[in-house]
Amino acid sequence: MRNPEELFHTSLRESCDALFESLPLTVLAALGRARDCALNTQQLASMVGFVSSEVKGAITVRAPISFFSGTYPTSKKEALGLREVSDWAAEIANQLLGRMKNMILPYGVSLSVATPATVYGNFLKEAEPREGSLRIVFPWHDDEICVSLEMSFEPGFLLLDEPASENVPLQAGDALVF
Amino acid sequence: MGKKVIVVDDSSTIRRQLVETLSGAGYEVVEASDGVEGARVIDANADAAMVICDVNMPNKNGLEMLADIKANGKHAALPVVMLTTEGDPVLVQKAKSAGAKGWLVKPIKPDLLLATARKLAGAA
Repeated sequence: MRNPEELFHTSLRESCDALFESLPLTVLAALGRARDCALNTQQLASMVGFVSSEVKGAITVRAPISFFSGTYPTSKKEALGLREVSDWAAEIANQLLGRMKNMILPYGVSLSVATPATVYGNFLKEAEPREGSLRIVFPWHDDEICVSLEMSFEPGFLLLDEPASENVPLQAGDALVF
Repeated sequence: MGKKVIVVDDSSTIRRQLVETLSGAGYEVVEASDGVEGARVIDANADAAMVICDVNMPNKNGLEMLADIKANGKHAALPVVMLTTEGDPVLVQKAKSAGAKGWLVKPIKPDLLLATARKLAGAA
């Protein structure tokens, strides 16, 4: 049986790469450790929780407002206010967790996802990472994008070694007409 | 005015994307921000040609809204497409059984969105 921590970490890394690749601005490859807190730039942090019978946790995406406004996915960006950019920050966290969820599902774990929440401010800082958490940092101009995963598992929880062939989820961008 | 499409999503960003894509192709778009408002807007727009609906939303989720409007006989022929980050085949089958006509996984791909609209609602 497979260690779930490894699968969650790999899924988040691959989901970040795929999501950032789909955005209209270039995000460079992940760096090492995050700064202890953000630089004095206006930042947004969006969080979305997840739960199943075996695991619970949350992912957080923290980045300068310039990242979210620059990747806002409509052609008209001139009237973007904090409300619009915050909504997009929440949607990025939602889509990131969606990708991760669809990668984990074939191993027998179906995550229920909460509604995202977003906070705004300067010097935002994540809580001290707990054992098993993951923090991935991407350079963004003179600042950084920080993606965090916090989770806890039920004792003894293990995954299928291989993905089940009968439970293949659709992936980001897929379309079905019945 | 083109054919009317109702979009139901709690994300204003997603609604703006849908409005931009669909209205750019000639469709008239009416918005709702959750399943409760969506059901009300559908009732108030009997001439709608199609509904595009998120799954995970506050107040009433998209699958609950789908079940409600399909239980109401007057919307039986209205095509409903789910637009979501969810890819779980169990949920896809549940939506299909409840009367959904399609399932799109975010992010929105404008060409696929418009192809789906043209297939289910007809040309704008």
